[in-house]
Amino acid sequence: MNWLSLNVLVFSPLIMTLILLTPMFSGHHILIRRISKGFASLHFVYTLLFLVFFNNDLTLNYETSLKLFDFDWLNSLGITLSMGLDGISLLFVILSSFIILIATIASKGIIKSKQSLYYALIFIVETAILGVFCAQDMFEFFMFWELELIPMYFLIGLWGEESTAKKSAMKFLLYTFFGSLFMLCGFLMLYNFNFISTNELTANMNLIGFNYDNVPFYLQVFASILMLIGFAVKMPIIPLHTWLPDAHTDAPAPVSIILAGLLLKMGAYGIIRFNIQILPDAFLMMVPYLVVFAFINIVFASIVAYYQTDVKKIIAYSSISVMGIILLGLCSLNFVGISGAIFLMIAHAVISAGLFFIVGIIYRRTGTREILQLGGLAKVMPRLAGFTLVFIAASIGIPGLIVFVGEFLVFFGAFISTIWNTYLIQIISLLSITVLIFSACYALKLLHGVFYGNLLERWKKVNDILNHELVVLLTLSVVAVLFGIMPMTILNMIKLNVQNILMAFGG
Amino acid sequence: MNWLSDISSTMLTELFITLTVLILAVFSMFYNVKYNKVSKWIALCGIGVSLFALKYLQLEPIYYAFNDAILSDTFTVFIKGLILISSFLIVLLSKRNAKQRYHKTFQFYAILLTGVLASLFIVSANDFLTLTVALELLSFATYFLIAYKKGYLSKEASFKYLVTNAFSTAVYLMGVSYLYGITGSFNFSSINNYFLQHSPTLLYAISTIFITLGLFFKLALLPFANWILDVYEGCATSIIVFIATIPKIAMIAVLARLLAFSLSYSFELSLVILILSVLTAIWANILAIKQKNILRLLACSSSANAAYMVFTLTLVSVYNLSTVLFYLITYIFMNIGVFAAIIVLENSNYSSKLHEFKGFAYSNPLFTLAFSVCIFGLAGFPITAGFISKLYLFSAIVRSGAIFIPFLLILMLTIVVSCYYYTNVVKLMFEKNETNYNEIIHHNAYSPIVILYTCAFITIIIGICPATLIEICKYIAYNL
Amino acid sequence: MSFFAENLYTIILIPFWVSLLFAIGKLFGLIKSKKIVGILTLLSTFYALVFSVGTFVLTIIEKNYILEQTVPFLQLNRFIFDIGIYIDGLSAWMILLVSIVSLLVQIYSYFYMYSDNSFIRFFIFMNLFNASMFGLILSPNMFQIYVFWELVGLCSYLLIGFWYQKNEVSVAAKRAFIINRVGDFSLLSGIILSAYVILTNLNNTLNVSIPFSNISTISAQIYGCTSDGIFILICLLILLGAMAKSAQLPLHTWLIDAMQGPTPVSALIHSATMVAAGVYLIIRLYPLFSLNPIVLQIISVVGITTALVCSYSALTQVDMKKILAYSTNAQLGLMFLAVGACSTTIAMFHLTAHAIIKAMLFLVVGVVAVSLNHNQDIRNAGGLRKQLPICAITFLIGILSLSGILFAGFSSKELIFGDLIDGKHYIYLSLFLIVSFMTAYYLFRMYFYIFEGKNKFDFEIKEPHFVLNLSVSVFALIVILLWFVLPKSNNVLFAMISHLIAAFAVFTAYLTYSQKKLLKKIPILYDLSINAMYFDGVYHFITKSYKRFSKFLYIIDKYIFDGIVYFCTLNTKMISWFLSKIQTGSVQAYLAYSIFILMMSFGGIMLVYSLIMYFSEVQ
Repeated sequence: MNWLSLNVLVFSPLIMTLILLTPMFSGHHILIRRISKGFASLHFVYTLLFLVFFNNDLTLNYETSLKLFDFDWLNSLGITLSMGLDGISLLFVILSSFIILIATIASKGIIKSKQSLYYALIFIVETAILGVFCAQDMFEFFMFWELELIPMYFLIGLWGEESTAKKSAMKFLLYTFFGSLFMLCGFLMLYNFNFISTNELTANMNLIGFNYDNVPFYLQVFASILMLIGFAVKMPIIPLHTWLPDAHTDAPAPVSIILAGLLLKMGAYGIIRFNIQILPDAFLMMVPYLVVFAFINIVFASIVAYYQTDVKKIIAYSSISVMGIILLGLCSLNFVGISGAIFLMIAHAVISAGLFFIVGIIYRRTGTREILQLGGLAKVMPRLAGFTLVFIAASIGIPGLIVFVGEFLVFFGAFISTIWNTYLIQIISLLSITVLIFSACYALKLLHGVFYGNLLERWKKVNDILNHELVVLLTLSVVAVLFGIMPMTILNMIKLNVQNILMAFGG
Repeated sequence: MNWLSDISSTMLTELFITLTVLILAVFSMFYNVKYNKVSKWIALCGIGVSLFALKYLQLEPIYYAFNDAILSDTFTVFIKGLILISSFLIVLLSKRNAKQRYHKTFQFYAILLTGVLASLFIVSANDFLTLTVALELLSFATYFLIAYKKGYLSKEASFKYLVTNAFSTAVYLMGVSYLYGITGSFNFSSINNYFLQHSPTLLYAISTIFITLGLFFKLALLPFANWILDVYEGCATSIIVFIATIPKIAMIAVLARLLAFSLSYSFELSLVILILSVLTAIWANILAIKQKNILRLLACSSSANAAYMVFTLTLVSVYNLSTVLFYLITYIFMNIGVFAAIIVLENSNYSSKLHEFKGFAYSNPLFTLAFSVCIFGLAGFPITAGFISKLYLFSAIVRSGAIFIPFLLILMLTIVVSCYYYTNVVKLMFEKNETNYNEIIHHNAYSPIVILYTCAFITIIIGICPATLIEICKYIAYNL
Repeated sequence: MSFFAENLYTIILIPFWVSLLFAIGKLFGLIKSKKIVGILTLLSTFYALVFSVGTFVLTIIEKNYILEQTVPFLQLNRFIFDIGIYIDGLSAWMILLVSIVSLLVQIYSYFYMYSDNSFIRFFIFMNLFNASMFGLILSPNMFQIYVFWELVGLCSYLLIGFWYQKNEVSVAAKRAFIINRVGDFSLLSGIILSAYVILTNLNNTLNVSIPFSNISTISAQIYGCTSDGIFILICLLILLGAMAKSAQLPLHTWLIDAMQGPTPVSALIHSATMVAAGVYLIIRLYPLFSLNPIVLQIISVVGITTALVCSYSALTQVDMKKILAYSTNAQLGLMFLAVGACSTTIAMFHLTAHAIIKAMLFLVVGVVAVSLNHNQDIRNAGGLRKQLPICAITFLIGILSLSGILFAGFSSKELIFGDLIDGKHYIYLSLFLIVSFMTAYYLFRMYFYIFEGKNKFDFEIKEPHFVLNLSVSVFALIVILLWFVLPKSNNVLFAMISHLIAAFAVFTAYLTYSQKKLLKKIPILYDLSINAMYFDGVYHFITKSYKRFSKFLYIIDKYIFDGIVYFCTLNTKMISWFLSKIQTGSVQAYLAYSIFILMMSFGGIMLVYSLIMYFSEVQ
């Protein structure tokens, strides 16, 4: 099937960028928006075609995964531009395309200036993210990983809050750049020690994962830690998280959607691909420490979220907390835990996209995100309040909605994890369940602060959601409910891959 | 006719450059405003012919000429080609600077080409005497070039350069004399042979350190780095391009040769260079944060980049050399691109103060794009050549041994700092400038803008398809 | 008959679809008519009633009828989490109870809420609640219990916060949800812990969701392969979940807050159905709890303490709904006591009796409050017996029953009494009698205040809609009928003591009512009662501490985690400033730096050399 090419999938947004940057569109704001939306939807449909024609049997093991594009990029260095899909990647590819589509629709009305540049940057980010999820080569992965930094910097800095966005964007840029350089160092170590031990110059993830045993163990651990720092910044893991609340707060709503929905997932995806899949032994050694970090992430962030009065900051801290749960799931290193973590990533992407979009709607109408200045909006915005309720309920893990399955599986998986003989992970996972209480605290604070109570005089004229907003919210809610009721559709997709990953841990 | 074959196989380019210098000098005596334009064409022709002449130099086997004082091999020819291409671009860029003093255009190009000539000699030197003479020639050309601009600052900069250079040359010469005292020879090859038979002593270590640190002056590495900010601020922009590229290429080439052969027996030297280059990287990058002038900023950046290259060069291996060469080439192109952009701005009567960049993104989108590509290339973001070159350079450092990874991490931290100030430049161009909205840039001179776009294009192209260039660099490095 | 049982799962789905239909209709503004909403809701609940009656009859006809239908919800390797339905006598009985109460309350609320602007929203939540409650009752395993446990909690929260514009409603809803959430957390931990125990010790068990169909075997297995400590921990975690839902001490305050919701909601959710879920869960898991006597003791102690504390708190309250809420708490405590000290059947009887009675009492109070322009203070009512005769009669039937004098309440309390005597739990028995006394006291006090004496208001009382009266009367009828249905223990002693105590209580209540100041003379006891033992203060303190703690963590976040980052950047900037200061521009300085660095390098080299020399000599 030639027309089903990862090449097209990954690079077509980049071509779209070039088209948008040509001067022929200057001034045609509506046209630009429509073209971008149209392209994003086409791209989404294209990713769905991959789903339709994706043969799960091909992913029996990682080496024979669907390899649709393979190009010797730097032959002399053993670096190739090879891309491939397995169940997990495909899931994230579809998610990326979906979230980007949502973000482009959500941009209407929020992005008012420099539209062609804006959409061009969005599509660069899309290429970068898709590239990260499809990459089969470490340096290719790293290139796409870095590619997203600069467009993201401008998306936050140029369309964000006037006063503080530039600073937050710079913080984001430097922080993530800092992390990714450590990651690069880890990659380089793997690359070179693989070369030294096997005398084969390659950066292919599969081959390196195949030969990881040849690298001395202390170097494995060292490389694993270095890579983990990079992923931890992106994910983020406390204490490397401080870029996130600032970046989220100052970014415009669609960019926050991309940030929370996709960028954070890249970190967790990296941990799965590199720390778990390539260096399983080192990861196994790090698990007890990581579990503690995950616990701090879960509880600390959810308690801090309660103190915030800025709606976006609440959601930002809640994202940190959820990423902690994901980390806990990954640390469980069993089938249930890892499946749950991956499921939770999808779930969190959908939910946080919805929540950030809602904040964007409120901010657009009232000009504020402070809980203390809002209140009682349910009276004038009943439909929005209803949708908010769905997303809030989902985000605190109400069953029947998408997050519940992920959280339940992670907690269960972490608890039954037998990779460590100590009770540490069990005690921590039991304690982590307290997040149910803490998350209810901050989520209800958000909901009540914005929608409950007396309606202030100045918000009496605020109008309810418009059609395009309705479409976005309805789509996200349907996704949230649908996969909350039928989680097996997603879990079956990644089943074989997760089993493969766990092969290194003896089942 | 031994000397004739020597010249024809090793010094053909130098010969043509010398001829050009002479022609320019002769023309300068018959001063006429009408001929000003001719001066540029003469210089360009001279460089073009020399480039063409490179084809006739001997590559294989290595040709040692003039009692081993000068040699010619693939490496030298390649470096010479690089020097000539950059000098070609510099001549194109320096039209306006040359015209600043109307009656001295010919002299300007003559001095410039003298500097180029000296660099070519440095590259092909196989003898400390030749090297010293060439270095001095280069230094003298540079004094005059720095002082060429009108005003007090350029004279001051020139003086600083002179004094610091004198000191560094003294250090260098001291090292050379020690080495002569030990080995009884100035020749690189015979020094190398001496130490193949004798074990190195403490005096050898000291002398190598003296020599290397003396050579660090032109690269602006730490013992002799402070001059670079003042000089960059003081002299004409096209001269900065000269200082930033041609001596740098030459020094990297000669250091590669020295560190690979005659100075390679002293681990103390490696230690000192490693520490000093890391210190330089830290110093330059941190200092750059506070700079308000893009020229001073680029001075720091140039120092830092030299530090990365020298760091890698110290861990001698063929692979490392190839990465350094690749880094050098990409760096030269991105740097020339950035300076071309600054020259474009100067031609439109902007100064090099950073805050004047505000709002360019909205009045000159294409210019901003090209400029940003070059700047991000320097910062090392992907799909530019800078990304690949940094990746390649770091892979060389890691390959040299796990013990260098802590050093690498420090270097990476400095790169994070550098990311801050590079991005800041681009950010400023995207900032709203309400008070005086930027005029569209006048393209009264086409060559800088064309060079800017070309460099940006090359940066992207190398970033996307670096394979060929890496192959070339590997081949060259293998042939040193 | 088995048709009803086999298709019983539809009663979970139909209210859910109805709710979804209303939600979509409201979202797009398609549903305008309130009648359609009412009819659809009633139809769906009536459908549930028919099916549950059918099922109940089936379980009566066939002794030990059990039906389990499951489909896997999550299936991961060897872990399967099923959802489905499980019918036995208990769930059939419970579902019948819920559907009867639900139907009547919905009829009532159709008229009660008719004039409210958010009529449709109310019925969206109501139907969702019905679906969740049926799902909870019909759960075949612990996993599904947990799923619906959270969902009923959500519905309860939504209905408490129904009138969201009021600030106090908002706060109450939030508190109710968060306290329920504590229980959810605990229940989930308990489920996971027990699943883990099953998993690690019994390799053949694939279904880790703890099915009820063989709960006794599983319980025995869990008991067999854990230490006592772990077993009690599992039981306590699950128990805490039940306690939160059934509003037992110390998690009972949410039920009082819940009275901020509309009255039909209080009748349906916060007295009859959802709060009984905790008791239901304990009854379901009785095979597990009964394995360790300490657990049963804990259940009894929790129950009786709650009953005492809440009855005591009810003595002096003046808000009608609050009195009933405390009463609900107390009766739920008695149910816990019944489970712990007597038997599950007795607890179930008391649950049934209480559900019907309390639903009725709430509905009456709703009518009364509406008549008084939504004034719920009993001191403002008075003499309503003449204006609202049906209400007065039904209310009297209700309180007579609940005080254990006549009707259904008499039978169930009698059973508890008899069993406590049989089991020789004399301490519980005496406390039980004290609770009975207080129950009768505060109920009759309330009755006297509302229905006797003279009117204390000066407006016309509107005749309530006859359907409201009708639904209340039907409840009263059921209360009387239940008297005949429930088994009797023929315990004369109880009848005597009960009537004696009740008479004394009624007398005291009458005295208090007519003299006004009987209890105020005992200041500390009065303060304790009116402030409900200061539990609110404790919760307030916890909330405040949590806020402070969160502020503290935020400060750590800002000044330590972010502070380090900030410090690094600041430091870099400082160094940069310093470097640019020493970059003086004077060439002497530059030369000095050069010389300094040169000397440092040579010094370093010398040092390295001498160290090498030294060590080589040492060796």
